[in-house]
Amino acid sequence: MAVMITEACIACNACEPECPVGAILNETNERNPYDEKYYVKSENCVECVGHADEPRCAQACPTEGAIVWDMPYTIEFNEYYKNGNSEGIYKIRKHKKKGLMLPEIKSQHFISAISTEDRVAHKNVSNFS
Amino acid sequence: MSCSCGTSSNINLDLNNERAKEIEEKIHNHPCYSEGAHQHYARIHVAVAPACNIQCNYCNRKYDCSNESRPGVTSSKLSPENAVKKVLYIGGEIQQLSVVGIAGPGDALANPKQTFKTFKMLHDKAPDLKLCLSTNGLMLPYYVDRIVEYNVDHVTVTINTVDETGEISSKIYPWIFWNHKKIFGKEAAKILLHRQLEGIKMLTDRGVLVKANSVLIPGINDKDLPNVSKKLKELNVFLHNIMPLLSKPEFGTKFGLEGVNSTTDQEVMATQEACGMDMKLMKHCRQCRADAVGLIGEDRGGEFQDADFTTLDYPELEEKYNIEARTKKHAIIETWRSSLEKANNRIKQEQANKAELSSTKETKLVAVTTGGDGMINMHFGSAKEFLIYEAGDKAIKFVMHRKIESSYCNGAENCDASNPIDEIKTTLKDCDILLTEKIGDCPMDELNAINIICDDSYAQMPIEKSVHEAVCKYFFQTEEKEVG
Repeated sequence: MAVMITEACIACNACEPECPVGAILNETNERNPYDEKYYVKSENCVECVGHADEPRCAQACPTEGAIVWDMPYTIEFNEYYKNGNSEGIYKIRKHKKKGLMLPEIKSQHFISAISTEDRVAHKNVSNFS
Repeated sequence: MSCSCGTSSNINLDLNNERAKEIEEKIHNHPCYSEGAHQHYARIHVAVAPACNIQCNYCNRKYDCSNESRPGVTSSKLSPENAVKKVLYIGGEIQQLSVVGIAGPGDALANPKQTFKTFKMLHDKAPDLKLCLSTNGLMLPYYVDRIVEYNVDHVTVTINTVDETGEISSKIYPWIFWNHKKIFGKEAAKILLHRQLEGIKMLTDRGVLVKANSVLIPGINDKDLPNVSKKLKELNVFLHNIMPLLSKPEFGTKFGLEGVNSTTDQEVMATQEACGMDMKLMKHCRQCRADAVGLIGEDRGGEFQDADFTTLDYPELEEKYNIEARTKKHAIIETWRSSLEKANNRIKQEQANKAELSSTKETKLVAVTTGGDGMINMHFGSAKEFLIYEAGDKAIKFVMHRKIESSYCNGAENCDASNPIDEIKTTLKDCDILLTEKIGDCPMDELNAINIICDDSYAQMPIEKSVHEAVCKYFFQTEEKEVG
């Protein structure tokens, strides 16, 4: 996923209605690998490219540190997402015919202005001051 | 229309009286809106609204902190269905329940789906309950129609300043979420204020009762609150609740972490004095949690587990709720209130100045311990809060409640070397008399040493009558005084 929701999430539901591609799942959804926080589907998140200047979920989120950058969902990071999926960090969709929907099957938009350093460091997506 | 001066002022008086009567009926059994009701009726807050669209520097919304009692705190969020089940269960257990409020843990109107779904179901399954909602006002204009449609007849709006430059506001609110974006600083402040005022006016125009809450933050908005009161009066807001800032580093709030101090009782009283000229004030607010349950001043939330009610189905819950039994109970409460009123002989006045309270213009402060029902029915050792009255020979006035961290006696098993009397002495330092059901010699001596007369001869008697009699006995006799 291009953005990631962390342990700081308080499951308040402010982000989910803001996502233009429906990539956010609440804590009760069976496709969400976590019990107590919301989850962004890595394979669907487009970092709001074509929808807004910056990720809308992070604009709505009231908790600093809950929504952070992750690696782009592109072929370059295919192993990253494949490993993360095996470890249970992500729960990527298994398509009936195409199989596990890794970036090599379908990649997504990302914001090139965000540096790899910031993504690796999982910096906050939005400002709070 | 032709009328003489005299007639038109009579018409105005009639209209005012009628309006006053209408309001009185609506608030009569709401423990927050009516000071008289607060010792007899209970409320429940259901935490169905976790999202918030602004950030206040005095708020940190946490889950699972059951030791903290302040707005924004809850042990867990509730779905609308479970919220309704909880209300039905508790309405059956605590028959004095008269109000259900959606106050958080975030903003009720930042979670409209959950909020209105809850109200709709409550309207259907618990039609005898009053519906109440609390909001920061940002989304208020958008939802006024729905509020009226769902028969929510009490709305509280938190408004901390009316400064149009945004100078004061930007010290309290770092950001708002508006039109899909976070907005900062003075721009955010101006949008918020504009929406608050617009929303309040829309509500009062439609006959919805509006209470305004203001958090008093000395050094930031203390001088502006009287302006807020004036503005509220213009907008026909009927009650203004000035609340002290609760601030400690362990709350994790911005103010707490920056070392801003909690507002003192004396600062609250001073601001109330300044604002009371324009607005009727609420003085008994307990700043309760978003999941609070019970008579205000006692939170019984811990007694009930989710499993108590989530596993029951609606027919079972409706039986438990037992609307007929509740109606009977409320009728009994009202009968009790009438007798209490007669016994108290209207000695309490809501807004009275010193001359109206005392023939010498000098008044005394009286602290009282109570477990509810309008009586002096709590031992000093068990009390976790005191009701404070200002009294003179002519009349008395309720001033505020003061909480203490630790009651004097926590039971033999909790006895340690600490002495809670120090906190109690500080809390009551400006009081002249303490009325309680029973007090031991040790604490009594300590309080006598700081000039507080302790009297337990009014045990199990009506509070207001006792306060008046005690103050006359000790301070307004022309003959020899009795020393307690």
